[in-house]
Amino acid sequence: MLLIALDTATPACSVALVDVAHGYPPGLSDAAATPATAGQPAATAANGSEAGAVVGGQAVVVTGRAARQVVDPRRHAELLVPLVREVLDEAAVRPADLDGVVVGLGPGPFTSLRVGVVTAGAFADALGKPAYGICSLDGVGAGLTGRVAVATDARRREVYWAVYADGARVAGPFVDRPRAVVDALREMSVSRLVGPGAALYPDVFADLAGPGPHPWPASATGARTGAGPDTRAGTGSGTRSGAGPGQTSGPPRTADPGYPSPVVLARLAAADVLARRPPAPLVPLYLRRPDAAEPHPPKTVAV
Amino acid sequence: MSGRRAGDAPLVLGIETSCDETGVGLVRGGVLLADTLASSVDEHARYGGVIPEIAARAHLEAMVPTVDRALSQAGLRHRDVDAVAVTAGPGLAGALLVGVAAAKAYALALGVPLHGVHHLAAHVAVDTLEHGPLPGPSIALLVSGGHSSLLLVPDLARGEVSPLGATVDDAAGEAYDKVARLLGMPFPGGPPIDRAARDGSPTIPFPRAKAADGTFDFSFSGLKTAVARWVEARGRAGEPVPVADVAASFQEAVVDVLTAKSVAACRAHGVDTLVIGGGVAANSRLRALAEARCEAAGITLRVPRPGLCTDNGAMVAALGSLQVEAGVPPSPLDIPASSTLPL
Ligand SMILES: [Zn+2]
Repeated sequence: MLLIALDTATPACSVALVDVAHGYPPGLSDAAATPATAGQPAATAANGSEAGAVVGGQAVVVTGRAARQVVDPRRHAELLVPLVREVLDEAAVRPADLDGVVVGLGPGPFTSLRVGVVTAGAFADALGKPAYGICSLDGVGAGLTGRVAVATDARRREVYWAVYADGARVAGPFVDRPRAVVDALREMSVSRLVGPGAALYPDVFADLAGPGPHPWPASATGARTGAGPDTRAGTGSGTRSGAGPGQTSGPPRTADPGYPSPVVLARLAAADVLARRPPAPLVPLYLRRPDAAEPHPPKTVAV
Repeated sequence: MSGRRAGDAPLVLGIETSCDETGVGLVRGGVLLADTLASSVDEHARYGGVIPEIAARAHLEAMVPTVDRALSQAGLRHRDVDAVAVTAGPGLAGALLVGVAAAKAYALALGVPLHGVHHLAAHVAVDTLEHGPLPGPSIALLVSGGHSSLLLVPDLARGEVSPLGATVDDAAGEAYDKVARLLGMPFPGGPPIDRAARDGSPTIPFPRAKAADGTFDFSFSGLKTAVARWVEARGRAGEPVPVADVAASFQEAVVDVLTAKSVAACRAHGVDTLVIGGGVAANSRLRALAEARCEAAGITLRVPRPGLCTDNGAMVAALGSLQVEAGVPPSPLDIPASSTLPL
């Protein structure tokens, strides 16, 4: 089944067209995708083109067909729908051919997060197809083995974070100051922290540094490379299509901090999609109340 | 529309999220087929004003259900939509983004053109749903909690709308909210002040700022302060505040300046049609005084019914419909939402 998956919970605006199906991918033995090794989610086939997973007790093949990612925290609303169109065009898929939409529900900066969630909701509504929401941190953590924490920027000197055990979220999502995260992780015996929030506070997180997640289109692949527009105007803005930085073509770029992968989000929704389970409403994971103060009563008490 | 049945015209879905109302309208050939609204006004009431983050969250929650409600109200399906129009600005940035992102998604998914429109132009356009096409150049007075503007409107569909003047400080509706709070009335302040004023007389000589300055700008901040000082003075003197008289006098000062400048703008530009829109257009005293002054000056006054004056999706669909029928090129899918979108 064909899904559009997107995430706008970090500075990255990410879109992927993903095919999910029952069964095992070629190049991956049945044994490698049985429940016995379900602790290795997103097992990636040697050829990198397809990923098998056991989701909800069922073997699922997840194939990335096309993908785009642009890093520009302030232009998600301008970028997202054109990127969806590019991805569909590249794969020669019409919106009506889609079977559903998957979106990262955050946590993330509110304005960008809402762009993704409302886009997913409206797109699915227009097509009469379901839209599934997944915690955006899972788009990083579900692709990792072992015990690991994922952090993203929550601004205001805080991070959004969650803890994963072999790809399954076991705590979070939360929002906290970096120092409090370090304390909590020590208590949970978690010694590795990844994700774009980890690099923001290198001093505080120094002892938790570890190898980052696999760059997403590389685990997503099937996506072709080089079809996207080049770097756009604006600081830190760049379009990436298909290939991850693991591939050596092109000029050197800054290390990928491990943004949520829409392909991983799609994989996490795959069981529901394949079983045609009705989705839960798309409710963003804000984790914070709106800033609003009730006014002081008027100085003059009239009447 | 001329010589064409509304049934043949394109169906335009309009989306409005510039402030605290999630509005969705459906218009075909100048005919309003549905107008649905979800408002977060109650959530803002205790803060005495619209809280942008609360408004944006409410828009997100209401967006898709409000679209679906509009379609079912009109007995239509998503795939019947021929174009999507959306308020691209001005307004609250986070609120606008929800509507703009949704509109783009609907447009791409349905394979139809997108029209980003200006909120103030849409306020003028909504009148065409009730009173038909504008006969020629018009003057528009738009007054609400967010804006107080005088516009010259040579050709609405082509986006020819030029600002003549605007408030230099508070919007008229904002002044209503602040004075209402001072008088112990709920938010938003327009309706309770209008009601209270009916039992009072406008005998307190509050100032008419900029009334005779020869511009088409407004200022309501000084008026609000004058009301506060007057009420405080009564309190210090140990005298009760005549709430109805204060409300009536404040309201008279506001609508006096608004209507006088509107009529002056019509005269200055040789225009004989005045359109009033925005939430404050629902004010009974503004309507009455505008009617009297327009009649005396030989100006045709057009005020849509109150439900269409406040922010809604019908106005966006109305302007989108005019643009589509006039062959105005659609907007690209990367248009930004602009909190300060110029006319
Ligand atoms: Zn308005």
